[in-house]
Amino acid sequence: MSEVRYPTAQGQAVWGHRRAGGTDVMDRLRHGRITGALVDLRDVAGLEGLVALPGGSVEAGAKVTLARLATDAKVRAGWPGLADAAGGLATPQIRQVATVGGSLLQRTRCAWFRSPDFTCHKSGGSGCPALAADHHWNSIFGAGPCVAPHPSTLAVALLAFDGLVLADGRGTLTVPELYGDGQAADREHTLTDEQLLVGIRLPPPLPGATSGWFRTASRARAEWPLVEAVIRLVPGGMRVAVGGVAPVPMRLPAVEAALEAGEGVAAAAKAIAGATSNPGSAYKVTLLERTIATLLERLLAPPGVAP
Amino acid sequence: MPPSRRGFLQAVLGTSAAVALAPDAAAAPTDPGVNGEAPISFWINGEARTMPVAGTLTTLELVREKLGLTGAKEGCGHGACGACTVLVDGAPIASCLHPATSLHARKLDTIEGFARGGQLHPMQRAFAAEDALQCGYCTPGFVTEAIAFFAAWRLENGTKTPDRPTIANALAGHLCRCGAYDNIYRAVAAACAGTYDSEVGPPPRLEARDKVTGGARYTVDVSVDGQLAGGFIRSPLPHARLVGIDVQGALAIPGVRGLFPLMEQGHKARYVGQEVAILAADSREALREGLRAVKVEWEPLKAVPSFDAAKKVDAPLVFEAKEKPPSGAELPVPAGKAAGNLRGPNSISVLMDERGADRAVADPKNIVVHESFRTATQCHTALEPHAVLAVWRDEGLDVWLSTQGVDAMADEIAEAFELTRERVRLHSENTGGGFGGKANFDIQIRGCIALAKQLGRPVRVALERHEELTIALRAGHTAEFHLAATPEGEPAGLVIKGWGDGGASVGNSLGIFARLMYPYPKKRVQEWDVLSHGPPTRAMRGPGGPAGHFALESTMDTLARALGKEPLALRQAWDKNPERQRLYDRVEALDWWKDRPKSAGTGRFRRGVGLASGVWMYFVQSNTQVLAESSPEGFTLRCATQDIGNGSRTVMAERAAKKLGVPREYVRVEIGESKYPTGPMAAGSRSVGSLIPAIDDALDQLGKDLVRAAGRAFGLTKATLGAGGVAHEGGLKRWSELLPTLPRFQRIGRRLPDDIPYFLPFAIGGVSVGKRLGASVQLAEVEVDTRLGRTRLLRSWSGLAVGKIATPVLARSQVCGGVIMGIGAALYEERLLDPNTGGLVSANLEDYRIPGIGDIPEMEVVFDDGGFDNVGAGGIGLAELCTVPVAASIACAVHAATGWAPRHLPIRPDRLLAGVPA
Repeated sequence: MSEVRYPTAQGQAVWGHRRAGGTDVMDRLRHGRITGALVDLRDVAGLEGLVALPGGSVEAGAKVTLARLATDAKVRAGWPGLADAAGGLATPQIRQVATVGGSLLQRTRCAWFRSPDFTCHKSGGSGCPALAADHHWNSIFGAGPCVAPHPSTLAVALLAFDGLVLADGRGTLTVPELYGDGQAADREHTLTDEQLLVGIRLPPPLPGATSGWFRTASRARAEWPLVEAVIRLVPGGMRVAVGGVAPVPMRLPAVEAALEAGEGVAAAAKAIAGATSNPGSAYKVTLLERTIATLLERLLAPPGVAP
Repeated sequence: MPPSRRGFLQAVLGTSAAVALAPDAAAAPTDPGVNGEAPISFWINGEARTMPVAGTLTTLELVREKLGLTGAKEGCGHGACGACTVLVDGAPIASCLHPATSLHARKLDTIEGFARGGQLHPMQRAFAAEDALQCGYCTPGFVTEAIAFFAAWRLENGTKTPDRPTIANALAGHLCRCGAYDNIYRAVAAACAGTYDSEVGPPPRLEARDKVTGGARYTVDVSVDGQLAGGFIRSPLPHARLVGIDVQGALAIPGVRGLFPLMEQGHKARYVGQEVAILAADSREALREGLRAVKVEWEPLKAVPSFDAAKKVDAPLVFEAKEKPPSGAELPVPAGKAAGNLRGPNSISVLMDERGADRAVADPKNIVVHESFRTATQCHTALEPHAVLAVWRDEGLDVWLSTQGVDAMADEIAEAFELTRERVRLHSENTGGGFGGKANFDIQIRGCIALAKQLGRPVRVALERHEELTIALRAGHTAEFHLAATPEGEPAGLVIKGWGDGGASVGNSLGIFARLMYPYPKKRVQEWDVLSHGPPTRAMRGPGGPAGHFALESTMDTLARALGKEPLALRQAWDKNPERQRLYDRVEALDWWKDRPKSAGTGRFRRGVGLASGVWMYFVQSNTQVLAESSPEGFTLRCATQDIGNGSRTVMAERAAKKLGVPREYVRVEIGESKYPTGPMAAGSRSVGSLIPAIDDALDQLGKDLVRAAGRAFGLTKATLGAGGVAHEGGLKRWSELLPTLPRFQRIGRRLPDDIPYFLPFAIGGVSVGKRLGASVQLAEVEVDTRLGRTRLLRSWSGLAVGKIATPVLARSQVCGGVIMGIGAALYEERLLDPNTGGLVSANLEDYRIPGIGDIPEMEVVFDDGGFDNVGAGGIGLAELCTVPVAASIACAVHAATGWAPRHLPIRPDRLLAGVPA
C-alpha cells in the first residue's frame, strides 16, 4: 500500500508522486501504475492563488482548479483561448477538481499505457506497443521512443500565450523548457523529483488580441482530442499551438509567419510541413490543417457572424 | 439458453486442487486503512463527521463502504461515466478519483441527502416523471449533477428553459448505456422551467422513486458481515499452457485469504484476460496487491490474436479440428466444419434456391451490386459490472447476482454445485443493465461461489471496467453481399458470404436477417466463424442483427440507386411483410422524409436522410409461470424474473391493475428471487410476451376463486369478475371491501401457447420460437462535417410494428435506448485488441466510446399496434428490433449526404475523411 504524506510547506513536498485533485494519480494508483509514496498537496500553503500582478500578468497556483481558471473573470478577459480550453476539456466533474499542476504534469493518455494489459517505456517496461500496432492516435511530429501525443490541453493553451511555469527548485520555465524535446522514453516533462510545480504565469495580454480553442474528436463532448489547437491572433504576436500531434505541445512557426504575413485562413496550409505519418495516422495530418483552418475561420469572422 | 460450460466446471471442482487455503477464516479482517490514516472532519448530507481515513481511500469508497451510502455507484472507476458523482461544496465531482482526505473541512452531499422529509427534489421528480432512467444505475450520478445544474441555472435564469446544448454541456460527464438521454433532456429542461416544483402523480416506472433517491439496491450494493473481496487472476498471454500457480507470495500479504483455481494445469489459455484463478482478500486494496503477487507460470504458445491473421492458411490453430470451441450464440447452432481456424460454412439452405442465386448475381442481364462490409466488435458496457455475492449457510446457498436470468442462473448454480434447487436462493433486486452480457452462467459466478465454499466466508466479486470490456462483447463481422434485380427491378437473387470475428468462439452469424426480411427463394447464405486468440463472444442485444442489417440495408440502398428508384419505393415493392408496409405508408407521409435532400451535398456540412428496414424474431419463454395472490392487503404477483431496466416490474403491475380494474398501487410485484415460479430471462426480447399471458392466466384463475368466495360470503348472484371488484346483480362489490374478508388465494398462471402454432413444435431450454416477426423502419437524418470527418445525428424516427404495447412510455424509453446503442455501433464503438499481443487496448470508457448525451438526436417513436392478435400478449417484444436497423439507417444517411457509402463501422473521422474528399 502506498503511503500518503501531507506536508504543509512547499519544501517538504518532494520525493513522491504529487497528488492534488487526484484525477490522474488515483487512476494510476488503482491499476498499480504507481508504487511508492504519495505526496498530497492538500495542506501545502501558497498554491491556491489566482492573482493579477502589476503590469497585467496573472499568476495561478498549482492547485487552482481548471473550473476556476475557466470561469475567472481576469482569465476570461485576458486569455480567452486559455479559459475556453480549461472550460472545455474533460468533463465538468473532472474540471472541478483537476488542477493547473496536475493538468500540466499528467501522464500520457495513450490507450496502451492506460490498459493494464500492457507495459511500455512509460509504465515500467520497455518498448512501445502502440508503435507496433494501430497508429491511429500517434504523434505525427517528432515522435520519440513513445509515440503518444502529449496529453495536456492546458499546456497547449499556455504555449499559445507564452505562459511561464513556476517551479520550486527550478525557477521560471517556458513551456518548451518544461517539456523538453519529447524524446525521453519514460517521462512527459523535465522536472525532477525535487522540483515542485508551484504555478503558472500568464504574461500581460496583448492589446487587440483575439484567441480561441478548438478540439476535433469523434463524439460531441468529453473526449480526448484527435487534434486540438489554441490560437492567438495579434499582429506581431501570432501564436498557433497544437496538441494531439506531437510528444510535446508544439507551436507551428510556419503558420504563425503566414498569419503575420496576412494570409488569414490560408495560413493553415502551412501546418503540415514536416509532418510524418503512415496509413494509420495520415488522417491526422489532414485534420491538423483543417482544425487550424476551422479555428482561424471562427476567430477571423466579423463579430456577430458565425463562420 | 446460454451455452453451458458445466462439464468444465465439474472438472475443476472435481479436482479439489486447492492451491492454498486461508490460514484462519475466523481471524479478524485487517483494517485496510491502518497505514497512513488521517482524521478528517467534514459534513455529510448536512451532518458533521470526524473520522480517520486512509490516504489512498477514494471518496466513493468512503461513502459506499464506510458510510454505507450506496446511492453513488462505481461505473468505470476512472472518472468517465459519472455514476459516482457527488457534490463537494455544492460542486459535482467524480468521487471514484477523489481522495477522501481532500474532503477535510468540506461539505459532501450525496444522492441520499436530496429528498428531505419525504419530499423529492424537483429534479428527482422530473427524472421519475419523465422516465429519464431505465436500469437506474447511472441515475444517482445524473440526478446529482442535474441538481447542481438546477441550482446554478435557477439562480441566474429563473424558470427559463435551458436548451439542449446547455444541458448537454452540464451532463457531458455522464454515460447512460440504457440510453435514457432523450428523456433526461426533457427532465432537466422541465425541472429548470418549474414544472416539477411541486409534487406530481405516480411516475410511469414502478420503482422510479427508488432509482432517483439512490435507494434502489443492486448486487454491488449488497454486503454481508465478514464478506471478502474476490478478484481474478487472468492470462496475460493470448495463447499459453498453464504450468503452475504460485500463491505463496500473495498469501503472505496481510488480508489475502485464499485462491481457487479456474484452469487446470496443462490446460490452455486462449485469450488475454482468460480466468485462471480467483483470489479473495479482506479488502479491495489487499486484493489488488494479492492479485499482483500471485505468480503464474506459463508455457507460451504461438498465438494469432487478430482476425485477419487468423484467416491465413498457415496461422497457428486456436482449436484443433476435433475440439469444440465455445459458442456465443443464444440458440444451439450446429458446429461448422473445420478448416484451419475457419468453422463453416453454416448455410441456411432449407427451401433456398442456392444455384438460382448464384446464377442471378452472375447474370449480365441483371442489375447486380457487389458490396463488402466490416463491423467492429462491440462491448455490452452495462454500467453495473458483473457482480456476485455468494454466502454459504447451513440451510443452503444465497447468491446475489447481477443477472438477466434469475431462474436460469439458479438452475445452473444448483446443478454445478450439486444442490437441490430449493437450497439455492438467488437474489437480484435490480440489475444495472445487461444487454445480453449477463445471460450466461459465467465463470466468475462459479468461481465466486466455489471460493466462498472453500473459505467458509462470503465472497463478493464485482468486475473492474477493463474486465467488463474484456469479457462482454459481440463479434465483429466481415461480409460480402451480392444482390441482383431483374432489368424490370424485381428481386432476382442474393448471395451472402460472412465471416464472424468472435475470438475463441463460434456461433457468430449475421446472415439470417437477409433470409427473414425479403423472403424470396433465390438466396445463398454462407457463413464462417474465424477463430482467433481473442475473448469469446456472447449474445448482445440483437446479436448479429446490427451487422446483418447494416450490410443488407446498405446493399438495398445501393441497389435502389442502381435501379434509379427511391429507397422507400424499392422496399415497398419487394417487402411482403404487411406490418412493415403500414410503416412504409407512415414514412411516406412524413414531411422530413418528403423534404429530404435528394442528392448529395457539396459544402462542408452535408445533410442526408437514410432509411433502413428491420426485422426481429419472436421468442416466448413457454415455461413461464406467475403466481398471483389475493390477501387483505391487495394483490401480489410473484415470478422468478428480473428487471434490468426493461420495465418488467412495471409491465406486470400495470397488466394486473388493468385486468383487475384497480390502481397500480394496489398490485405488489415481487420478482428477483429464484424461490418464485419460473420466470423469463431478459433475453431474446421475450420478457413481456412471456409474462403477460401468464399473468392473465393466473388472474383468470384467481378471479374465479374470488368470485366464487365472494358469492358465497356475501350471497351475491350472477357474480362475475368486474372492473375494480366482483360484479353481481346488485352492482359491484369492490376489492377494498372484499379482500379483507375473504381468505387468501394463490394461483399459478402459465404462459399458454399462442393461437397460432410456434415455428418449432418443441421448446429449446424452455424457449419457443414464434412464427411472427417484429417489423420496423428506421430513419436517421445526419449532418456530416466533411471537413473534420464528424457525423452528427439530427433526427431519428423509429416505426415499430409489434402489436399491442404493454406500457407505452417505457416502451418508448427502450426504443430510444436501442437507437442510441445503434448510434454507438454506427459512429463510435470499437473494441480494439492489440494485433500483436492480444491485449485489450480499449480498456476503459475513454478508449471504448459509447454515445454521450451530446451525441443524441431529436427522437420520435411510433408504434403500429395492429396485426398481432393471434399471439398471447397481443404483441411481441421490441428490445432488439429497435436497435438492429439503426446503424444501417445512419450509414445510408451518410451515403445520402455525401455520395460516399460507408462500408466499415464505426464511421470514424479517419474513414470518413478517406471516403469523402473535401
